[in-house]
Amino acid sequence: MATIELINVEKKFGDVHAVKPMNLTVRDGEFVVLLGPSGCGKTTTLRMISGLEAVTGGQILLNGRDVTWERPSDRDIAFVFQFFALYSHMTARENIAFPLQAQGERREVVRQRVEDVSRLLRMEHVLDVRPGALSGGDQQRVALARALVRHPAAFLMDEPLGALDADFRETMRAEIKRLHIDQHATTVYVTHDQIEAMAMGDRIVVMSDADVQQVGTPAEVYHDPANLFVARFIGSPGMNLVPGRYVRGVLHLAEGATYKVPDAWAPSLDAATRGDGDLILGFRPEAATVGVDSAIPATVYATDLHGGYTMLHLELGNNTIIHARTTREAKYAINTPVRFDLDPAMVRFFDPATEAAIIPEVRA
Amino acid sequence: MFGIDIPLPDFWVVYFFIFWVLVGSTAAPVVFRHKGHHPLIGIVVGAAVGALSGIAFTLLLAALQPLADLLDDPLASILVSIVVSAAIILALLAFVRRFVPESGGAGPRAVEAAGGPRAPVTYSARVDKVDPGWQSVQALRASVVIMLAGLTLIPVIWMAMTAFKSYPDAVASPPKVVFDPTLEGIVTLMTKRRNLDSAQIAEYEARDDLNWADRIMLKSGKAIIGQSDYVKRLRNSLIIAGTSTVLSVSMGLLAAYAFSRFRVPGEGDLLFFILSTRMLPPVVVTIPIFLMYRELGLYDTHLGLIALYTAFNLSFSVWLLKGFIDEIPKEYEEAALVDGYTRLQAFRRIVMPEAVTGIAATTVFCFIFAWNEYAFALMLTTDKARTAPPHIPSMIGSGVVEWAAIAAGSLFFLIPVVIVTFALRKYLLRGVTFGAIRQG
Repeated sequence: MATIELINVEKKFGDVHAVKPMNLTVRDGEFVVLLGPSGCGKTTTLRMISGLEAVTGGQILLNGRDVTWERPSDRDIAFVFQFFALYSHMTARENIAFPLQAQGERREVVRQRVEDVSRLLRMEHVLDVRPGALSGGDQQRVALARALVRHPAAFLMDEPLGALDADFRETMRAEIKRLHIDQHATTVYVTHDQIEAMAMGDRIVVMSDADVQQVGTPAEVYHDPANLFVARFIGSPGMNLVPGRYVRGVLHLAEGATYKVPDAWAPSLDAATRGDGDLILGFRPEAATVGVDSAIPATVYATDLHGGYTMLHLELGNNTIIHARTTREAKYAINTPVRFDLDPAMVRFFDPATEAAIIPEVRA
Repeated sequence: MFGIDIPLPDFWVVYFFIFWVLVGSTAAPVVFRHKGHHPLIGIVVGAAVGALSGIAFTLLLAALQPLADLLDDPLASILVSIVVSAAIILALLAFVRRFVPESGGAGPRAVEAAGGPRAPVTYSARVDKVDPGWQSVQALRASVVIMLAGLTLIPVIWMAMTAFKSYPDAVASPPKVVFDPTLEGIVTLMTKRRNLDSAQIAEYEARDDLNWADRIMLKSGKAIIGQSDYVKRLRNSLIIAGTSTVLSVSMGLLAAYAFSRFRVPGEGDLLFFILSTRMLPPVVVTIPIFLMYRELGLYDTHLGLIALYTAFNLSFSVWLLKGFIDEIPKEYEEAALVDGYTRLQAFRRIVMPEAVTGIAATTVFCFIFAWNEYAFALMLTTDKARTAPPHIPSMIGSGVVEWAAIAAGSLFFLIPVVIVTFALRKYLLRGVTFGAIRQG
């Protein structure tokens, strides 16, 4: 297995950056997810690692070996495409054997390894069918088998679940995750689905506008977003972001509501705003608790039951809608005035000018 | 051979007689099967119904003859006869459907009892579920298609028949549909002959080293003295059309691939330039090309015609193949590149098999063009590289026109195109790609 290092790798089309210089180290056996909205450069990054796209600057190291200008076939990586790219003129078996034939393996070895990998993916029964006659899930399995059969140093997957039906995606997600654990294979996985990224990744690389926004574990990008983009993009719905003015330990929200910031945060916020300045308060829906004698007033805008919990949409003044989670039993009529509190351990603050998160001094 | 000598009967009578028999014998079995009888009974009854309608058509046509004479236009009487006889056959079929008794264990009620649909459907894999009326309509449509196909094939069939006629049969008036087949035309086509006087005929007849062709010619008082030019012309046609097809398809495939996959500077202009070679009618440039070829020593050479046809077909094949290659997702090759293949290997193992439909279609079109080309072949060749198209009309020449030989020449000329198209039909009919990459 392998480590992948990107050193200042960039891609420019003319003067436009498709990927701004980026640094990333994927450790041996790690599952790294490149996450971002479409057009953010995540697929281009993956294609540069594979060698299908030439870099315009920087270096790519595979196991410490500089492969920046090597051909895709010499990099010992496997690529799973979004729409599988199965050859329609070959059966599933021939598709899977195709990479081995390139290496000039003996016929018995090829057959043995195709059988092994198809047993691993529980797809022996479809081996002699052409891809056109297979279901989406079986096509996906053939594509995975074609990648696995060669025992490559690393797997690159470009939205491999994007072409599947929603219910089947869950199954395949688990299958890929399990496969990664069994094979201990270094994997770089591209997706625009943040739920998929959270579920599968050891680490997530959040990208936007051709740039890396944050690199971290799923818990890190969820709880400690590095900037407003990550805060909004991760989570469903994203983090609640409420603008306000910070004056000495108290955040003044719209229409006279105030929020006293937790004591642990006060020194760092004082430092960031020099005692008086605009801030953005961020908190996850589950950080808000509605209570009778709570601090912040709001009115109920809408409620929806999500099965296990109820999502309250609360209107603060100034047309700001925030989302809060309550219990399944909680019932609120629309336009009821309510008050809510925030879990002091789960609030975050952002600088509206730089959009970056303010890092608390105790943790810094 | 059989001494048969029947003049051509009225064409429309034969045509519609066959038509109505075909309609009857395909539509009636549907009704009979539906009602639980054996379909063979249906075929017999249907054929009888068709024959009745055909007779009605014939009688009507005869009865309406005065009308046709009056109007000086046979079309009106034919049309009236068609409509009336069509009404007769439909009425007869409806009568059969209405009054043929149902036999047990079948029919619409049985279908419903077996859990089938209450109302018959128009499409199902199970024949007993489909509405018999709809099935009859399908049979009718098939009959119409077969008869129309037959109508368009008549000239070709007539040509094939003429090829096997003797000279008196070929020029007989009225023309003969049933005749005594002979290989005279084909032997005439393939050989050079000289006329013999009666003493020489007697001398030849005494010889015992004559083969079947010699004997056929001897009957009309001729001796074979060698192979005719036609064989050479046909060989030239094969060499020139075959080589130029292979060249233009293979070069076109590579060019189309490059245009489709790589960023070629000035791609749009280049493609337009390639296409623009098609904008001029080829005949316009025959004289300049004739002069160029004479200077270059390409006049009357195989190479000259091959180069010319390849150049003409190349624009066509580049454009056609580019469309097909554009359809192949580039992920196919990228997958192969990642899996350890070079670009050339990926091209050979992935792109070519995926583009096989396009390659087949292009091959057929290029071959037909090069095979049929007449004007350039006439202008740029005399003997050595002359192809069949300018040769066949030259056989009309002066004196007796050997229609049988000309028809035989045209027939043999047709065969290679039929073979090529037939061999590639699977790829021509197959869909462009059947969805291994899911779009969307």
